[in-house]
Amino acid sequence: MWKKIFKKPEPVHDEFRLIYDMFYSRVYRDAFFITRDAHLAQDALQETFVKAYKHMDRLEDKERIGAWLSTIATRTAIDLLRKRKGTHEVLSDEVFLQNQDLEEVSLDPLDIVEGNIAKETLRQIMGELKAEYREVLLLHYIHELSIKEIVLLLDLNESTVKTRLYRGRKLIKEELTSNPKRQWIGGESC
Amino acid sequence: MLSEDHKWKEMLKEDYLHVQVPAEKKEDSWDSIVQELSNEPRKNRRASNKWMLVAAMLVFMVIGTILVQSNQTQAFNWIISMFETSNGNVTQINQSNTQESSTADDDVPDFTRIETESVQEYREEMSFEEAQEVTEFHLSQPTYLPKNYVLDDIIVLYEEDTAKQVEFHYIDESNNYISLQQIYQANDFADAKVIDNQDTEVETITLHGGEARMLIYEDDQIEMIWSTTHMNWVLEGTEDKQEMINIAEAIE
Repeated sequence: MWKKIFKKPEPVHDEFRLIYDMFYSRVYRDAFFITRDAHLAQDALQETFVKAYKHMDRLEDKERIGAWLSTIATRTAIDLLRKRKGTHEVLSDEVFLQNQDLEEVSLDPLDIVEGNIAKETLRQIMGELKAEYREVLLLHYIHELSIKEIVLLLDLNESTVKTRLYRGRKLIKEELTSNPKRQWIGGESC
Repeated sequence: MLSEDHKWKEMLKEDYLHVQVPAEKKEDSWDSIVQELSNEPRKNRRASNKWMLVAAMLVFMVIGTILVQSNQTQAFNWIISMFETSNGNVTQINQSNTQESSTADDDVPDFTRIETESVQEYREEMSFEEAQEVTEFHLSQPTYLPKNYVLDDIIVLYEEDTAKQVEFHYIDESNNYISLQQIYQANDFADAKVIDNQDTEVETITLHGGEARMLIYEDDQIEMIWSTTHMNWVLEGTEDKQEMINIAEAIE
């Protein structure tokens, strides 16, 4: 028992490198989904893997390592957003350019391809949502974690997770249907 | 034809996968991670593990278990056993429709005997009439709602193609949200919820002549849970305690 308690919990270098290779893309995408900024996402990725290495002993179910890393990534990304800006939003040059592109694209009738515009529109709406809402939307709708799993991994109460999911979904639906510029994927289409 | 709801969720996934992952930064990031980890003062972490162990042993020796139990819950003419077990930082709220008494020893589950199975679950939004049609239990809604709350949507949750749970979502003009869940329990059931005592208050209240538990979270969310014949109920929202009780009492 004593051996077990005091045994070195961290994975060895090669094991950890394997984890890094396997989950590099996922962690980056998760961090980008929250920050909407390439530089912040890269910083969040580094911090995520540092935290993961230090706390690998807390991972109870090795098969859920992806979900576990995703929650560390989203938490870390939210913390970075707060530190950098003091609020949930960061309008970096890249995001600014992306939004500018969107406006230009929207004005050009040749580029009005519903699918692309719709994706850009949704991207813009997601960028305006609170990072905490983005976090649960990501975990629930993209990684398909159950509410109970999110509760456990984020250490939130069930009610808070449900409320954030509900409000996030609600805000997206409202934006899609109420804003005439954004009715490509809402409004009256199928 | 995809529903609008389904459509934006699909797009969200596509958008997520479409993000260009900077492969050229992978090695630089790895070097930074290794560098940061190699700078970590390992001695402190080991010492902190030891202190954690000592602290855990002390806590284990000092803390006793407080058992508060009440089996008399009778709500809507149905006997439901509902009791709390408090131990240090957590409280466990148990619900069961069996009549066996519970002791502190019984509260420790035999994990080797627990079997889990995966259940296919999915959710569908529908009207009240449709929801009533697909469920084999009577759907109830509160006849009273505070301020300007209106019914926003109804979600039916299926387990293996059987509608087991219905959620009513109410919303006001400020996007405040109240949720009422009816969870059908066909046979014997037992449910448990673990609460963190540091950020959650648990109160026992009287409802319809029976008992309900009111959980008050630090972010002002209130959750009420109670049981009736073959049914578990959960009411959630950010209204004050009395308003939440008023809503629960007005469920017909």
